[in-house]
Amino acid sequence: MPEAIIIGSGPAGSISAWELARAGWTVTVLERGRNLRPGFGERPSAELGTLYSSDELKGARQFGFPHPLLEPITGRTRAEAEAGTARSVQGLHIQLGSAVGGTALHYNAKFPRFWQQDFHTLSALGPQAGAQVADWPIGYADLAPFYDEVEQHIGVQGDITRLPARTAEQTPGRRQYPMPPNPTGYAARLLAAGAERVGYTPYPYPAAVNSTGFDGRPACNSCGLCSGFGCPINARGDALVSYLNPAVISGRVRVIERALVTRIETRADGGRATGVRYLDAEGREQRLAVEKILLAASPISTARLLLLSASAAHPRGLGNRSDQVGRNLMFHYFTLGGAFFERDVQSLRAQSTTVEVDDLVGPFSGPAIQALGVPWIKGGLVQVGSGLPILAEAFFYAGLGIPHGSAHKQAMRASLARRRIAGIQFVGEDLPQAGNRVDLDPERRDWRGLPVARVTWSPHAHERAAAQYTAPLLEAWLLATPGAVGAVVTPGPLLGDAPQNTAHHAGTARMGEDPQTSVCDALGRLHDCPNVHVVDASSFPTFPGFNPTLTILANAQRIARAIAQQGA
Amino acid sequence: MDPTRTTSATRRQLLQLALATPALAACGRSTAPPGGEAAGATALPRHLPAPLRATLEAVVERLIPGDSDPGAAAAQAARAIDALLGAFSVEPPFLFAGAPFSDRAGAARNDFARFLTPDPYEQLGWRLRIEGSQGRPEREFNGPVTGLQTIYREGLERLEARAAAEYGQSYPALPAPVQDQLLNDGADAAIAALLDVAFPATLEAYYGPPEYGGNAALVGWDFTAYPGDVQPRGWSDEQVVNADNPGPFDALLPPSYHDPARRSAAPHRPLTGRHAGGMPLPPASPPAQAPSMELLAGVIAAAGGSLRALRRLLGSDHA
Repeated sequence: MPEAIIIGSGPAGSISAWELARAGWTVTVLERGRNLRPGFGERPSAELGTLYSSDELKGARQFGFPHPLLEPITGRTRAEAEAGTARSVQGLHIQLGSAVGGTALHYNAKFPRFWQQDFHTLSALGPQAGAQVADWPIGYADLAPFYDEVEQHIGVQGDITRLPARTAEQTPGRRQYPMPPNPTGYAARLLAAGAERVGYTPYPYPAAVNSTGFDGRPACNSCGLCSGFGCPINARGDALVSYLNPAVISGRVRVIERALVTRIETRADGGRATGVRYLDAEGREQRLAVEKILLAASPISTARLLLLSASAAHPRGLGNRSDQVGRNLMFHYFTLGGAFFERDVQSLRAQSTTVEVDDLVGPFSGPAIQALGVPWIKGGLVQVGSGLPILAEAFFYAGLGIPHGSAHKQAMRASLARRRIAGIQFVGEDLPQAGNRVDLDPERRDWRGLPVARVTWSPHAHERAAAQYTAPLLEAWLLATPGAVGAVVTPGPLLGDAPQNTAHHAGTARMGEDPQTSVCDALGRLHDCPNVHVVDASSFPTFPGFNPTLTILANAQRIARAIAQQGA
Repeated sequence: MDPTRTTSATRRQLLQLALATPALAACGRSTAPPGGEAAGATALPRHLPAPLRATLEAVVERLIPGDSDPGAAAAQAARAIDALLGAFSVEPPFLFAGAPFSDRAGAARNDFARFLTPDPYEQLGWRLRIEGSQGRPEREFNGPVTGLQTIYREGLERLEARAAAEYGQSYPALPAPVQDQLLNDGADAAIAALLDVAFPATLEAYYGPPEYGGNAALVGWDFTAYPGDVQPRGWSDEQVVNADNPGPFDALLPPSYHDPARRSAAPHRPLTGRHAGGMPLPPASPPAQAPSMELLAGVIAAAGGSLRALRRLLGSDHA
């Protein structure tokens, strides 16, 4: 039977392994992190244990993440790069998790679809100076059946009868979600009332969180500690419980933990990959020969591995003939907002963000936008009704500069940022730019001696304009919220040029038809080495303002099925 | 909808989770105190010599002072920090509390108290953080790293040396304003380095789970009315959808999107804590930024216990 190696066990790698195994393939998944779900590969997902809990200190101690001293990423802004600064930050900033199952172990499980309009932004809206806006080589219709399949399989709660008209029109081809919405948090209901007052249409946020029993796993009980926490009661669908664990139990998939892939090897002429080299948990070099390689390490690590795989045939890195590998790195930016109240509005007491608003997705154009210096802007969805746990609150005040001693304790007592706030997050689209990129740091190494990834990134004028345009709209909404006595809005791109600490990453190996301007084709095949497929969000040509995991899963399943069915 | 659906974790499902977890997770004796009770104190690892522990206790009390509510000394924050410094003197190392539940919200057993066994990768990373690189080549791939043990020891020794030289007393014996003056001397590199890590560590110890040795008698969760970890009980639908203290506009709010016929997931549990119920909250000015749980979790992890890094990441320190 055919064999494949998958590099990375997050959502893209897990669903690819599941899909290939279903078609009879034998799959080896190499994962640099460790397993955090006792019983993995041995027991059904409903019976897995977890090393996660509602323990904030474990998160602060980077549990489930690369260690910042052992596997740092370095970073700098575009202006710093132009001034010759090699790096201004080093450590865990903008890093994703590393564990069997990937960052989805502790994600928020928000599951919106991208919209039809998102797949042909260049054709519909035109270019922007200094950005590499592009159409996708696929359309919404290519993903729609996979969106549906993933929603039904992983278990998404929501209600399609409540979708706003434009959302429904932009995301056709739906069945009702397999589970109804969870209870809406009180703080989210307050904000939903405010949204309606300013003419917006709030609706239940689709989420891969059980609102009823599903697949043998229990319903969520609204503890509120979702993002950054593994679900202690196994109520969240994710890469591991929904795909990877069943795939391993099928007997056709094995996962090697703490396996750090160091390079992809090719024939002497570079035209085909022959296998991978990796360092195992003991640091011994291992080699696996294989005919098919799927790259699913997430955008920064996928680009790093392609660059580390430089050879005589691929002197600038595997798949990098056109010098596009690592470029067009995109991070969603966030405009954070909060309405303040005189009393406790219990914003943490609900599944993390139960309401969505799509009225600021855009695109927006016209004189008001042109006055901001760009021809058009695209925004994104708004997550409605979030809260903070207590250690995050304490660190937030300290990080804002509130000094230690009585001042900090008084801030905790007044608790404006936890008990008296109802929060929103606007998720903004980040345009691809050639200069926003991953390369190999010329000096810094990881604990195995390999060059670490260096991220050079700053927002485009589009993001600043979009943040500037939407911030007053968000503030008006917050102030229209019943009982609100004040509001604050923090537009990320207007605060500075460094990336925010987001887990939404895309780009670095964009898909397209032209090998001169893209790294891989519509099936993720490297133009220069077609038995290597990029199946993660690295291949996204643009990054619409929606939580990306559903689209990562659907796109990876689309590619994996083509590999299995057509031998692509 | 499926009429047989369950609306909360069934007893059987929770039992499966509880049985599945410790088998692989916690193969070592418990080293943590149960539920923050002082009885567990002797099981915590120690690192600093007694006199410097006394200095550390005075320091944490300046960082979160006692007022109408207990300060960090009473919360045993110094004990928790010292336990992290001595993390590798016990087995399993005192780094990550166990899972999935404490016994504070309906579980019969406190899993937090059975610490996890870190794998060799995690142990190397945390040895590097706590012990420093100590000139070992395998730890100096990016140059030397000063460990937390050294930062605390040098900072605390400097405080004592200056207390003796400038005031002729030990640091804990000095009046609080004088302690503050020494502790806030940013020009003294050893003291500044101490403060950089000690303030975040004190916050962790005071407001974090008590199994790490701090938050004694849950003082950090009391005056803040924080419910703590609420699993496996969670919140009932009624508790999620409605406010404990109804607001004047509640009748006008859009209803919850969930099916009201859905059985309540958990029995109602009154809030505890001294500011629970109808207690008014003190006035305060809104912060200059809005917080977000998702982004803050990343910021806190990226700051790695450094106040300077935290402030740089949140934009309040551009140095």
